[in-house]
Amino acid sequence: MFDLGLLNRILRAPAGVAAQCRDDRDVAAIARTALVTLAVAATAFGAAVGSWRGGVQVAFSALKMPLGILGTLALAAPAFYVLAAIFGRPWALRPVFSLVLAAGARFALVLLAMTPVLWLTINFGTHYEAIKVIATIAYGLAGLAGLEVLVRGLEGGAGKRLTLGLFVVVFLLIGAQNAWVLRPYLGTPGITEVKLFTRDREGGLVVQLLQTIGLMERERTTSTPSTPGTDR
Amino acid sequence: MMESTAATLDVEPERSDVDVPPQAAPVASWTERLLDPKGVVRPPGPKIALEWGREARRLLVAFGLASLFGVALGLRVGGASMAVHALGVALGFAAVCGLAVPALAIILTLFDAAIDALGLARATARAAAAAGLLLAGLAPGIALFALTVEDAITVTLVGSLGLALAGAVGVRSFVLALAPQLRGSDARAMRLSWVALPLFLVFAAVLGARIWWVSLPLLRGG
Repeated sequence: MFDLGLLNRILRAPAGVAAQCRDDRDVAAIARTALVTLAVAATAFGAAVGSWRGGVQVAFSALKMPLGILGTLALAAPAFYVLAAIFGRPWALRPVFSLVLAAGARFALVLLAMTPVLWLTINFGTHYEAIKVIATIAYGLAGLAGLEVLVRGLEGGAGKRLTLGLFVVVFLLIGAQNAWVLRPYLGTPGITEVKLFTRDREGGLVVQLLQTIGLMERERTTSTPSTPGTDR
Repeated sequence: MMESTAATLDVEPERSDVDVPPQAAPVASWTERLLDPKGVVRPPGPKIALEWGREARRLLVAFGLASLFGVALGLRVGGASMAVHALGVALGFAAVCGLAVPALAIILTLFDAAIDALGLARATARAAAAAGLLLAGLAPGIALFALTVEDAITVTLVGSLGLALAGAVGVRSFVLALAPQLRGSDARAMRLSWVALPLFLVFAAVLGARIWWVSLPLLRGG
């Protein structure tokens, strides 16, 4: 059911696991182990993020984090499948999806390793903005670790960089929108009300990015600090 | 009979692969058969009608895959909008295949380029298949944006990016498929073809974009 040895191999020798996925060998076991790992690690990371607010927010974030990560993988995996096919690797669906899941498991394991670091930082009463940065760094590091499985999985040959580059863009866009839909994870400083989902109209991801850029520009010219004031 | 067998064994005593079943040839995946990059340079078989039928089917599958992207876009409004956007996305590709490619065929023939109608059809069908496949792969992500973003500008932006990327992928596939065929032309024809091709690509891009602008209300922020 759950293969600890596989997790060891995913961390130590991603190339071997990637080759196993590509060759369509025992991919059901890889999928099972990856899904369980993703769910457990994301729940733990979510709980750590939610601990900044504490109370019921811990449970809300622990519930939403796996939903966000698994949802992003489910929506982005078809894009990886078609990008690989178009740029010279027209593989069957199962090897490609198992490769994505193996990458997801490696991502989840690194996220799990970062969980105590994040929790301890929050426990020390670190500033809200610093916690956001640390959580983002944890996500980034985990993402890079996961990406290595895909890099090994695609092997050499033409079109590899294009496939990976485009997939990363698609994955980040879908991941950002998914995270936006499921916000808040941390909560907002000064607001004590705890919500499962924010349903205030805040314009969406692109509008928020544009607003933030505008704000930074205004702050640069007037030197008057302010914040967008949205739930994170 | 026994002597003959023994003689055979004497001659080839080290053949150990007799009991090993022959390895099955790897089965081509669905995407491999759809994109079939090697098929572009394959010489035409004896039954040309079959080949035309195969390319027509490939084109229809491409339109069907592309229309999934339209369905995903149309989810924002729901109902008939899904059908309108599905048709709209497929229409953009159909316009390029039905209007721009025949124009290119005439120009290339005028330049006496070494390309035939079937070769051009193969390149066109594969380009449409690559673009359609990409759009189908992006459709789940687009559906997320269409259903969850509050502002229309994000859907317009992401939808346009997806269509532009598919267009670029189609162009890449078309050029890759056509280049080996054009190499058989004489120097003058090849020079002229390489002038005509970029102009065609610009025209195809503008035509596709115009059709999508007219037929996809969500691209206009509607």
